Amino acid sequence: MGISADGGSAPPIVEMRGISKHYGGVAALDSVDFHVDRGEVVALLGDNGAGKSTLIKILAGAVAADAGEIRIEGEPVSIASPARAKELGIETVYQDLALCDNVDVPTNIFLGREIRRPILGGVLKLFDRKAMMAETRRLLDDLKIDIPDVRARVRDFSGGQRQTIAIAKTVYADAKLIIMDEPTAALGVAQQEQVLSLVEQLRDRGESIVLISHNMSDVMRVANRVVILKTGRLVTSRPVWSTDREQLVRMIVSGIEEPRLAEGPEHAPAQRSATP
Amino acid sequence: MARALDMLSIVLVFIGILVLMEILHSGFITPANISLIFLQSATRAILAVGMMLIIISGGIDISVGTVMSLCMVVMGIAVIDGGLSIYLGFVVAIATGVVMGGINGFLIAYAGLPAFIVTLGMLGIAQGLALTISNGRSLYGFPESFEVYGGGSLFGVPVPVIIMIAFALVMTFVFYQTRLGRYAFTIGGNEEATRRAGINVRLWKLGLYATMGGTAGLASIVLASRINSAHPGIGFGYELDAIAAVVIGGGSLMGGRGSVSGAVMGALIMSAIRFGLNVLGMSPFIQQIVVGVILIIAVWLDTIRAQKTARGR
Repeated sequence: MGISADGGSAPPIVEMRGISKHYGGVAALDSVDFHVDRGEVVALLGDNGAGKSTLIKILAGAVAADAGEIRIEGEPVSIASPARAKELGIETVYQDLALCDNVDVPTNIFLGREIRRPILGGVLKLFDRKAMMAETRRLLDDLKIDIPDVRARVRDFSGGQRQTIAIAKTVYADAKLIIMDEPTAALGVAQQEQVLSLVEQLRDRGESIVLISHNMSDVMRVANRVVILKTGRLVTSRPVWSTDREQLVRMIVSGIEEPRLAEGPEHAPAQRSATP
Repeated sequence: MARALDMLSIVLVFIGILVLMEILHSGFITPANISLIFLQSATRAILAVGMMLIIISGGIDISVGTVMSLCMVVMGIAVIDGGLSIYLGFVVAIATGVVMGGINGFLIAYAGLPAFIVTLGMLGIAQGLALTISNGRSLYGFPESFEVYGGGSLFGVPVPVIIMIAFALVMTFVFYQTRLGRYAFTIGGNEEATRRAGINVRLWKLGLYATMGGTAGLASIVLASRINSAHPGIGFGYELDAIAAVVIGGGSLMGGRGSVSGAVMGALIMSAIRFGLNVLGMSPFIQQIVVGVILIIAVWLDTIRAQKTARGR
């Protein structure tokens, strides 16, 4: 199932240890450990207020943790801003803030990293629209994303197409880790399918992905591993093959870890202890 | 396709106004009159193109008229009283505009004040400065070489119109091929997404208002050359024409949409209306009422169009 076979020797793409975050007296996260191995799709699950948004906001540089350590490919880092997260190769697909509706696909894909060509001996740099158009076409074809006319404004596309464009944008950014926050929320069935098959494709290409979702069948279909949080604490982290939909729902609701339903080899490095 | 249709309808409105004037005042459509409409539109069109960029970014600048007056007066004092060469005068005029626009931009982008209020304040400040440093007098006595810009022509095309066309061409590049232009569109479309793409939105906003100021400086040069003098009160009211031109030309006050050609056509329409009202012998007082009514109607139509688009999605 497209899992990288690095035998557990390489450090995880991202490793968070003992992450805590308090808002006033309330612990949004209480000493949580979390990691994503290379080529792994990790589904982050939990009820509202479980702490999953806080956890990804810390990764995306939008929120600072009170305590804990973050390593990227084994190197300790601090992610002070969204710009820093991007520099470190962490790209986030937000639910609704990802695209500028009023401009075309290449402008969105290349926003902030346009291809420019010097004119007048380098005095001025103009956008190379042709190159950006061609690159966009190549990227979309490569990802089998069906966009007939890349020059059309993004608002003219369906919700599913827009979400796939937003995801393609992170792929083009050469992300080490792609975070997707409810990518299929508010989409019709056919459009959800578009997005999910893109996520599967990315998984099979070996991208590392964190997926937040409320939809258990999506999770069972695309994820390699599930991580469940409840009121800021880690409940469990286990491969999808060792659980099922009903058990996931029970653990999300109760916050109590249940025994695995199947035994088998862990594909990734051994799970780290949840205690610091 | 939709944009081509939009453009066609704007051109039809322009022709419609000319035909209406011909009906109301037989003999209106002559080469001389058409040429005058283009000549008078030059200042308006330059301001409208700058305003288009601001409005695309979701902002507004109502100080452009009085900033233009200030640029003109500063240039007049520098050249006529100070003895600077006319070309240095051009630089002074544009620099004055860039500074005033930069102040607008700083207050809007970095202090987070609403653009409408900042530029309303600047409207008063620039007007007051222009009147203070000129003692309220008009400045005459630009060098003769200056008159070429306002009164001269090249292959039968008046120089102000050539400047306007050249500026429109340069700005077309700016709109579509440079970061300043493209980011104006993306900021106007989704400011938060633009910020999250790692773009320094504040800096670019400051750049947009500074560009608008510089544009007012350029417009002041064209206007001063046509009347071969500088007047501290002449610019007030041009902001109305510029904003109306933008909205007539397909710009949306909601931001995110607009074009250079639209701004130029909008300015031509405003100039045709003003020229027509003059020919019909309507007093300047009544003209102000007409322009105000046109602005409100144009914004109204834009609002209806925006609501339709929102529902159509």
